[in-house]
Amino acid sequence: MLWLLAACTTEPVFVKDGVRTTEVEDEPEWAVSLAGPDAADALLAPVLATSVESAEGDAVRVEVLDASGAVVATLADGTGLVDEVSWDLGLTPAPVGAYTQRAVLLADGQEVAVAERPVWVVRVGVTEGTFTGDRIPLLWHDAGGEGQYWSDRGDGASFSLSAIDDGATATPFPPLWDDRDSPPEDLTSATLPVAYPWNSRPTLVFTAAGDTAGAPLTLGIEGWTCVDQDDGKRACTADAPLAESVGIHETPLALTWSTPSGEMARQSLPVRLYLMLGPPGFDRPEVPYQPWVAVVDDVLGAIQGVEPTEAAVTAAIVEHVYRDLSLAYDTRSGASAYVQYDWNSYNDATLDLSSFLSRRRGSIVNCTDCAGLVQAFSNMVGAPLDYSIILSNFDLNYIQAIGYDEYTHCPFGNRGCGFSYHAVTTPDDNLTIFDATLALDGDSDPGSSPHTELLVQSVDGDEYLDRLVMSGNPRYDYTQQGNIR
Amino acid sequence: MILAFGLAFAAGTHAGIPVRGVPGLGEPTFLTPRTGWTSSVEGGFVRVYVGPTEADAAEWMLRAREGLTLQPSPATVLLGDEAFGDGDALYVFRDGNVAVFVRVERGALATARTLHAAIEDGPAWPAAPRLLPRGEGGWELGERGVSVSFTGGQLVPFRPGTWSELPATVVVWDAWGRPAEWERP
Repeated sequence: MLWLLAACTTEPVFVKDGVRTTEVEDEPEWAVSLAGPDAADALLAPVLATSVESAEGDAVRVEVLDASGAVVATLADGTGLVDEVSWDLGLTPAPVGAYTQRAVLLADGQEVAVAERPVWVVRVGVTEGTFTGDRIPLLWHDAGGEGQYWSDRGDGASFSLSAIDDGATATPFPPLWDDRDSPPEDLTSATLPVAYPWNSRPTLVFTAAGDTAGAPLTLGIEGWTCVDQDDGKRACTADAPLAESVGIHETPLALTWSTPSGEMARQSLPVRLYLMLGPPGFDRPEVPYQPWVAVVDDVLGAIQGVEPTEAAVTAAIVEHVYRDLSLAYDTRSGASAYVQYDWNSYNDATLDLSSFLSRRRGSIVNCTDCAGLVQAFSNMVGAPLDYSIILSNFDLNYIQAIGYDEYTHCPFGNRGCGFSYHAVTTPDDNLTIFDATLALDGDSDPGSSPHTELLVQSVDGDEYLDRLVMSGNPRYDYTQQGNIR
Repeated sequence: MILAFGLAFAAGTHAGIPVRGVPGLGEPTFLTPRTGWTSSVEGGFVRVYVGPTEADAAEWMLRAREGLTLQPSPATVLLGDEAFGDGDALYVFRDGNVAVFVRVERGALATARTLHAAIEDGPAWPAAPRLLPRGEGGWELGERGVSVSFTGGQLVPFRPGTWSELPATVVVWDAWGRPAEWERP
């Protein structure tokens, strides 16, 4: 093999067998490089793993130097080749600051290539997280006694921490708050649930704290897009709605701490999002006419995944009340347990929802109770609904009362075969009716056997009266929203 | 001034029925000024209304009976000024400005008698409550009564009767189940 070096060129040019080339096939191409995350956190991510690529050498020495150039950690001692090194801050601690990671390639004991890159030791964390955007208020009905309502107003922090660590361990995110009746006395002790319309893209605003030592460190959520706000907080918005319908979303959020070089650490944030059909359907916004946690937790769990329309949601609520709550009609007298009307009319029905939730007065109910429940539940999850009274004194076709498995047209036995009034619910001034008190006979002859169960889910208002009433002159009246307490 | 409270033995304007301490009654639940308070009893519940006037209680009676098949109480078991029942599970009576509804599995009259015997005369109707500014911000009720209910505003959690944001309405119930109302100006 003959190699000739040609002179007067800007780079070495070699001629081999008459062919000019700039390549040197037999000369070693010494090279070393470092790659991987470039930040470590003694409590969140104490091990900085770095991949080392080298060529042609026979050993690599990897060290970490502080700002003065002093070696604070030796990650590879130069006795052989390595393809990965780790800086474990637990074994070789270093204060928060900027450092240099340096790799030296050795060949025959000589330094033949060097790679350096900045790395950082940080101590960071999140001290507060607040869901914003089109969030819906949530209410706990027992903040120091029944009827002592406390609302998160739709803008309260979901969690807050007094510090990011105690000096030895990172402060964990508080557990989810599971009490559906009362809020936590110490708001830093729990992560509170929040509510949104099912098709919204929630925004979570973080307050971060700690010391990044100048590292280009950013906080993110997997599947969300995050930006810095003018107030120094970090706002992350979901890239897509979290579900395809109403329900309860409890998948923890994956919080990531990253630099352009890669992910440093990942934290799991527990969340519970109540995904409503929309804002509450009540005709007034103040406390307590907001979604009660004790109600929406139960109702959304029961109707999860139902088609996200007002009719489908209210229909599912009717079935939930009729079948799932172990309620039974008061066949003795048809008396209400949880609702009272105003003095001398059917106006201003007041549902004692607090007492119902603990079944303080039992599970024997009447039509007023069922209408009050369906109306309250539906309005809370975002499907507007009124109650309506059917007057008066009419005889019944066959019905199957709530809590019973037989049809009768005399629900009070020998005490009566009719209603003096009947309470139902409607979203559209009695054009369509929802009723959880009873199932109608859905066949062509509701006045005699056999019977076909027809739950009252979006039944035409006229058809409802035809199927319910055997004789009389029923009419709808007092259509309005009621009170809750 | 020494106030002497005593059992009421005749129709008229009474203080009401003590919301706590009547044998057989559970913890009271206060509804609205127009609907009164309620409590569980063995096998059912009772509702009690105390109105400023006898006419108010009579209106409440009408509503309580609405839709129910009840017969006027025989004179031998009549309680108060008017009473109705179904013979076993339901009994409704009014004595002056106090009206009571009893729904139990059986023996409603016995429960009604207990409640009727518990009617007391006493001090005048309570004055409207006052909301006073707090030194550290917010508002605090001047008179707590035995129960406070409200709408609107923002309660300071676990500090009943204390708000960081002014409520819309406040109702304070006294020991005889009489409501005193406050409305945001």
